[in-house]
Amino acid sequence: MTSVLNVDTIAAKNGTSPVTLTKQQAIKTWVNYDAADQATRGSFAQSSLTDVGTGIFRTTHTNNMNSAEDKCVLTNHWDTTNEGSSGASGASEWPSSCQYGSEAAATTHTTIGVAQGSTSSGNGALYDTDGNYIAVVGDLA
Amino acid sequence: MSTVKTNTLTGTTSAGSIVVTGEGGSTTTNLQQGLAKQWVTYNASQAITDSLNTSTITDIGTGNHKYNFTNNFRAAQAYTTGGVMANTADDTTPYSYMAKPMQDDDITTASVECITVYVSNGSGGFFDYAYSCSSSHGDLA
Repeated sequence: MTSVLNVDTIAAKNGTSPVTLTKQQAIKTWVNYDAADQATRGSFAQSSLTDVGTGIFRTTHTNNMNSAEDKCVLTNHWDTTNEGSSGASGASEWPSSCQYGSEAAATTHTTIGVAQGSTSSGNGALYDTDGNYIAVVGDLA
Repeated sequence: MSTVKTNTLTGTTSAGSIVVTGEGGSTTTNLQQGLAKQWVTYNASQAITDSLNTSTITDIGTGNHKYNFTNNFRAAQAYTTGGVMANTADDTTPYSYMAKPMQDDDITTASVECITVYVSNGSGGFFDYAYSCSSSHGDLA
């Protein structure tokens, strides 16, 4: 027999604490950001996005994380304007990223720095890639 | 401790929206929007080893694969995707591996085409890795 539970909100029996999602945890915020055009294509639980500078942007979370450092940040980047078929055709084709500088440790936001790859000239320089995927896993406040 | 056992959870106000309390108890988050909607793991022959919402993988070329979804996303380019690879089970090569879309047009509602590449000091290229994985987050149609 199929069972269906219809609800709007799920909380622990005390009415405020979280329920346990058995053997899984959800992403708490994500954004698909076009840094070249400074446009957010899609997002979840992002209140705002700030373009800090070339290759640097800050996504501010709708809900604060529980810890500034105890969170996992997932990133991916691509660049439409440089879609060459070989790795050596352009450094911006192989970008990498990290949480940027002193702003990394924050519960309210996550700041990312994106740099060109190391396959050509311009190695390691900050760069506004066309596609930027950021997702954060961890506990909410 | 109380446990509710059911096969399906459905929102009452909106069928596809259920709010859950965050881990810290002071914020809430949307259950559906935080879940990964697609993921896949596969080998160098593009044989799927495990997956969610992935019907097939199309082999475009070396290091270039399209993940076809069982259920479409709501909007093209409005979701996020990314993944990682390994060359062998105990891979210790000094390369950086990435699985990412090549360009914006590779992200459609029905599939996402990704390249699996490596970057080293002064070189980079496409490769079919022994272990590859990718996941996508966003709203389903």
